[in-house]
Amino acid sequence: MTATPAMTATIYVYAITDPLEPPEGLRGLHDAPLARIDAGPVCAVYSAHDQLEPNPEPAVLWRHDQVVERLMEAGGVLPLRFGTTFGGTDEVHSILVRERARFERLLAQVRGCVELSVRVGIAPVSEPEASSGTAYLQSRLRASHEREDAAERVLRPLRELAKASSQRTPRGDGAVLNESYLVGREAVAPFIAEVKALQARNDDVAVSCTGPWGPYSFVDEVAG
Amino acid sequence: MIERANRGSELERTNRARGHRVSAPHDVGLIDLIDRLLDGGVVLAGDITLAAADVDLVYVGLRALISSVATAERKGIPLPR
Repeated sequence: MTATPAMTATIYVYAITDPLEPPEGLRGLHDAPLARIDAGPVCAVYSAHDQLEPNPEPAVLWRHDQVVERLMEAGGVLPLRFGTTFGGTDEVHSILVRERARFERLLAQVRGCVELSVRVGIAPVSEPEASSGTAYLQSRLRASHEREDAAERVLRPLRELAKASSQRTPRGDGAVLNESYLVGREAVAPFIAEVKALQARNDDVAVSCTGPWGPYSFVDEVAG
Repeated sequence: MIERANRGSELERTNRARGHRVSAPHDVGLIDLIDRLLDGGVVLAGDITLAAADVDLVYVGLRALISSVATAERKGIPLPR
């Protein structure tokens, strides 16, 4: 699995991993072969390219993600942000050596787990004609609280099934909340069953769930 | 850019959907993918090819998609299982 790329190569790194073999036949961006940089208990999986401008087109993003997902079947994986490149493998190696303790802690945190993403769409609360500015603001505030309550009814039970959760800043008007969960592989099926049960019990919200993903939202150290 | 690439990625999206996507339309999967790969993950000290402005452009391309999904969800339109 060692490769000796030309001096001019662009090194595209997919993930920091446990020492593991990239699965047979798995290819990186532009079908490039995968290789590994070892630094004791932490490794980096990369592909070398003569020329590479990684554009964030869906097919390219899916490939990065596919590499991460397949690597996760073999061991602990910390996915890198899309588009991370280096001028040579020695640069990556020195980062692995320098940050080894941090990567080992993070790998221990996510090993055996996957990330699941849940979106909760909340039905708009009808706003009565307000007679004054104050009444209008009060009704807006009430609507916002009702939304929070509806979301909490769905999200709280899911948090209990997860090792960690992370809420993304809502886009736009906040009608859709997105939370990510770090879930042990063995808990994925119960988690999905709970998502379906919560949707069945709450007809004022629309719940969608995607995954399993690599632990993209859990690569910061959790306090305690 | 997004639409052209969409067609090219149909196979991978289909593969991914089989047995993996839990209960969401493809479009939600794509938004979740972009959120994770462009805004999550470990940031190393290498060159991140995408400047923050480029990332915003990706979202602009998806704005219509995102709002249509949001609208569908708001109206309680049942999502595929």
